Amino acid sequence: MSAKKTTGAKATDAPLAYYPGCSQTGTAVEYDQSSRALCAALGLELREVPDWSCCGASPAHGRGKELQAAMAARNVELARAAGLEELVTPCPSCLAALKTAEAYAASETGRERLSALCGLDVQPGLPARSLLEVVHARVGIEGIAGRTAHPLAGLRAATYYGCLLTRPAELMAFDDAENPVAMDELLLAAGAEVVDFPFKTECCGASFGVPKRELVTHLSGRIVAMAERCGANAIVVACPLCHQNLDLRRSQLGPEGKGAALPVLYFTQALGLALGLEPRALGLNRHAVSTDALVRDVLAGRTAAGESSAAAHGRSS
Amino acid sequence: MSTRTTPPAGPGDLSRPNGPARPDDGARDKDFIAELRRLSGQNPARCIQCGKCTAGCPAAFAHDYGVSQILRLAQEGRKDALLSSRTIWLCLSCQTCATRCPMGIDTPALMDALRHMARAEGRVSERAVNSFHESFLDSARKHGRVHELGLMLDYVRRTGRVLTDVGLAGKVLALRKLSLRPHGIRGRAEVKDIVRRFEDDDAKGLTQPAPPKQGRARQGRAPR
Repeated sequence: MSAKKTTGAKATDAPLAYYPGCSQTGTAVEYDQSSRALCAALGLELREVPDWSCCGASPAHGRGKELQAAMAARNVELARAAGLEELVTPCPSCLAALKTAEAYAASETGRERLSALCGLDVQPGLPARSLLEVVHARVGIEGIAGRTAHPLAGLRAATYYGCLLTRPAELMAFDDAENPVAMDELLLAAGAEVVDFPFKTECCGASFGVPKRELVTHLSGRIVAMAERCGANAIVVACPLCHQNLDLRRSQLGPEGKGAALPVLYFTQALGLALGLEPRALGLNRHAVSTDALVRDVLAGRTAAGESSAAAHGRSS
Repeated sequence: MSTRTTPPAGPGDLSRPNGPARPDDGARDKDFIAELRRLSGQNPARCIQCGKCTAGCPAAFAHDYGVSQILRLAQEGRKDALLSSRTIWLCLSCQTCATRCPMGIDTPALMDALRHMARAEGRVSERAVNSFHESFLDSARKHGRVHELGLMLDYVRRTGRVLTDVGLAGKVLALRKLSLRPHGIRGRAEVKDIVRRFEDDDAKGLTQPAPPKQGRARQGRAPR
């Protein structure tokens, strides 16, 4: 296959330590499902971190960054003990915690602190990356284009990255902090159309949906409305919390976003469709806002692939 | 947005955008400034009051003080105004301000530290936000992983907000996304120990609030 090899000391086909994150065992179970299915189809070997635990997320750094680092460090050390050299997670919030652990472990003082808190010998040098970054780096634009069996004709995506995937830039060290393009590039390679979307990294309201819902309904309502205004027929995301706010909470959103029928896909689901995976295997049947019409369009594009693209518009009835 | 609400009455002069808050208690609490710097790893004195953070803040419509006003109050050591502010609880940690700050100040870390100090003094102005965080951490501590249903039930118990998101429960259940029982892990005692050790060390002031620098300074000047 023509998968783009990235440079670096490690072989790009080394198995990855997979850290799903708590959301992916519950409300974002289809993100886990589609991440595993996509990686299997791309030949990326995932090995789940044995007995992984919560990264702490915002409530932990609210107590102190060191708590967040320590809660994440336990998982880094479990991955190391399993003989793995690189961590990957689909969740940006978990990623921030894993990277914070890495930042602490980089200095001797930090290592001592984490070792004392975890009751483990914490070591440096096991990097964590987002699944988006790994797919972009290891498979690449050409790799996705080469493996796209069914171009995503009919998908006009607003790519929504959320706050944390690229920020803080110094910690996350991935793509442009305010105008990331990695997801755009992969979707374009898969034959989708990507609309210009000014709210790529606007905050959806994060975990405030429960304690302060008006923050989420206002902010997420604006994001959905903007995606519609930009001509998108779907929002593509890379974060379980963004998905929860834009999809599960759709009926709660502010007037601008509430009525929109725009489905919200994980990038893993969109790329999976392009690779020819079945919608159910990607969990596309498990969203609050139905993906049926969009999937039908994309599948119609599939049957039309290679023939006249006008056939894609000949569905109806 | 037109949804900006009128700032609630609070100490300080909010009539001038980004203007300095008027002294409300007269005192510049130097010990407080030192503790805030220690806990946050940030030096608010570096703030030049350009207002970029306030301008880009997505939660600004819900704030009492603007983000740059919080920084100004921190420069002045205005403990009472800061710890009773709602803004510190309504920071989404979205990193927009930190990304754009020309002085390299990690304001979300400052907000974390202020919440921490407010909690320690029993002055939580947005109780629901704090309760949600407590329920979340408790769930992680108890099971090793967060159990969403358990977290919600604990949150309802803490706040008495019985109707919180009941509408979503049916939806989540129908989509087979609701896990009724926690995914307990073998190492849950280890997670519990991590939190306990952190709390012990934190009480003694032993924790490192930010990743310790090793030789190379951050972009821009390191905090003095």
